[in-house]
Amino acid sequence: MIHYIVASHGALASGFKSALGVLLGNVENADFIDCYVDDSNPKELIKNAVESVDDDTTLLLFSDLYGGSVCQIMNEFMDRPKTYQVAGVNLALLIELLAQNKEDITLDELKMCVDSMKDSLQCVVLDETSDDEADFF
Amino acid sequence: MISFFRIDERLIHGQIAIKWSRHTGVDHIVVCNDAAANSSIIQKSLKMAAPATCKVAIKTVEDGIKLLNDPRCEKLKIFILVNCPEDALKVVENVKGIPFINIGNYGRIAPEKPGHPRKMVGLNLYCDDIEVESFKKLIGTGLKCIYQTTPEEPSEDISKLFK
Repeated sequence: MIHYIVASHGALASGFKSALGVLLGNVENADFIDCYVDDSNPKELIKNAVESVDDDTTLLLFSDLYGGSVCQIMNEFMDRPKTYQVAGVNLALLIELLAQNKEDITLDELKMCVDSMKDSLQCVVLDETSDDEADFF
Repeated sequence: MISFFRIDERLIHGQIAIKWSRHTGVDHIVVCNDAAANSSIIQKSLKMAAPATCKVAIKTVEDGIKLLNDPRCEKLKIFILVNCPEDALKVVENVKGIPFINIGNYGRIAPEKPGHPRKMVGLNLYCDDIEVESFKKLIGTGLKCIYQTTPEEPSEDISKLFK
């Protein structure tokens, strides 16, 4: 089993939840935590989410900015076994991981996935499309 | 071989790239659409939307039919996309081996014809009277016509929707 916790400054996390809802439907095994939107202590919010995950479930943490305060808070929970964090998460990565629907994931597999999604952040250049049928076959 | 045939007014978009391509295991997408084939911007946008695992051909309906009848297509797993029931009929009448017709999204963004308002037939399916006739003709070809937006949603035989 894999559980996902996505946390962010402001409503970005619940924004991801909304976007995933449109693209993938309801996401069951994930928590989306908006920090600094009210008086709640962000560390408490994240701690509660982490503590409600079963000990033998792999936990994937996602923060919005590498080195930001949400990332730093999440760092404190990384001593839990089978717990990994991706900072600077984007929608494409969340979709890729959730759509894979795997039973478990290793750190190496997660790193490969993050690497493979690097192209998901790129400038759009509409270059000439090749309509070569040789290319199609 | 043709793995999947879908009527979707949005052609290639998230549901296709993320869900249907994985679900069907296709490696080639053929879009049969005159407007898309004649617009380089639409072509580029559609190719951008396609999953990296698929090769994409964007053709007019007529050229798409020619491509699909090329014997080299036998070895490929092809996903055919059209954006309206009229184009679906043309392709179905001229290409062998289409297993069934899937209807995903139709009638929300395609421009309405003056004098022919659309009515809701299903959750993402809106048709005017002319389109209802086209769908009835599709049902009349004998091919199974299933309304299903994504693989996890329930599917419905559209012959029940178009009595």
